[in-house]
Amino acid sequence: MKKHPISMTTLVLGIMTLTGTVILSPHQSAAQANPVRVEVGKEVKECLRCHSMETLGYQDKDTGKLVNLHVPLARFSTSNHGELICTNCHQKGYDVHPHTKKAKAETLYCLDCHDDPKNPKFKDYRFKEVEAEFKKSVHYERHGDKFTCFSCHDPHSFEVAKKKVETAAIIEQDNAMCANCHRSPVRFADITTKRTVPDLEATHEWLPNAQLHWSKVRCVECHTPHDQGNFSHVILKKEQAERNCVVCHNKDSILLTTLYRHRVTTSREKTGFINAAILNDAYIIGATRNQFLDWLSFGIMGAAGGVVFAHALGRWITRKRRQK
Amino acid sequence: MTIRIYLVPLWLRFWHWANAACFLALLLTGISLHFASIKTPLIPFELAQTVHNVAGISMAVLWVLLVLFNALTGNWRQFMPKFKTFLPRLLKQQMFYGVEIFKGADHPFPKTKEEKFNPLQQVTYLGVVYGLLPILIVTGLLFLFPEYAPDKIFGMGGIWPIAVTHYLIGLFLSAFLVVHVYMITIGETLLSELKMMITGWHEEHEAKPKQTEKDHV
Repeated sequence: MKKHPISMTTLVLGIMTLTGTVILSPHQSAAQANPVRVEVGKEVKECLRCHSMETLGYQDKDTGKLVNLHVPLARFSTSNHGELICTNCHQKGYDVHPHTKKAKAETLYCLDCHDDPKNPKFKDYRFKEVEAEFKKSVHYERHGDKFTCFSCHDPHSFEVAKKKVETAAIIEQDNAMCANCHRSPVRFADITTKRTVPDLEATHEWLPNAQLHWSKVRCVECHTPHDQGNFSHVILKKEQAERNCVVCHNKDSILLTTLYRHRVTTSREKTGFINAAILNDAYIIGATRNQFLDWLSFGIMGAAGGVVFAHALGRWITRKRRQK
Repeated sequence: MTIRIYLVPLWLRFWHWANAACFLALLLTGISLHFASIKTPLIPFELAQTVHNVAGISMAVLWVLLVLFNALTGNWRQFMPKFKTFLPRLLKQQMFYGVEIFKGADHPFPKTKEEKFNPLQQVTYLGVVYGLLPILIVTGLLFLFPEYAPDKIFGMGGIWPIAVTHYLIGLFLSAFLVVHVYMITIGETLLSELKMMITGWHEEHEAKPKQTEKDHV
């Protein structure tokens, strides 16, 4: 994967923040519920004196596009990178203000850190495989090196799914990544100049209760292949996306190996009620089956059929006596 | 000679058969949706979902019409058990279905215009029409409009308890349907009850001595 260039030309509002008008506190958004907030260090606070300003940005002279340089502290401190200091990634030339041209031309490559064989915590995330999958995705096929990890995953705010307690929060974060471009004409135009942003309601007209689906499952459940038994980064063309309802709406729903994967810890074969408890945020027609209820239904219907059969048999046996 | 009594008016027959069609569609599509499977699909999921929604809404409308017409025509009284003598009458009816019918005994509570249902039918239909059906309909509508469902019920996601309730009521009504269909054959002849629900006329042979309620209580 080609390195991601950040070719900065003009800092517009940075000077203002150097006057110290922004007061930072790592606890300022403590009211927002997330127990894994990290208290950022002195070095980060120093950078955020400028970069926590919502209006911090510049206009790229080459492209004419606005580049947002805002790093929201509240989201950064809960993100996967919240424990890092800025200079772990942003290195040469960032120690002076305004940053030097050399600094602005930096390129970042996720796998420089995430493929570190010495760091065992990245092993389970299979970043090398993710990169190989990404290169098969419609995004890479169509846009090449213009599309990078950062196009979807904002390194200043992204949280890995298993850090989140509520499934709804995972869905919200992941779908926001897609909507960030696919619902924004400006962001969409940044990536492709060929088309206007498609109307998602129109392209999903076939999907029953589309709004409900979007609030309860992630776009990637249908827009990635699901035969690999794990989450894939091969984002598919819309023509290849899953349209078979039963893939999710059945007892062996793929959602159990994707969306609910990190919560499924008990065998579903034995535990109907536990299955329901696992999925208690979302009832899924055909998937949230309960074995006890299924047995009960077979029992009740069997009993009804049995009584009817026995009664009919009794009437047939006694038919001659009754005719007298 | 045969005595004919007009017992089931046209509106009630229309409701009965329309409701039966909806119920059958709901039962088949409901089974298909609940036991959805890639390997052995009963009915294609999208088709089952659409048919289930249409039939469900139709049944809800039909139920409202039934309650309305029951109230306007006084037909609701047919569902009301006679409370003072209810238990012995119920017992007598159960004895008939369980024992006497095999001996060739006559129906203990012959149909009259004032009392079309026997005590067991009264209490069953009362429970079905005014108890189970509204619960089935309300839970079904909450499936269609989940934004109105409570976020949590007893600590569980709101839709899940609703889904279980919907499933259980559907199950009880399906068991009721099995018995109900069989009961068609327990008329004066095998098909006389079915014929009555088509023509509206109940037929009875005059030769049989007509038993009055007093004889049974």
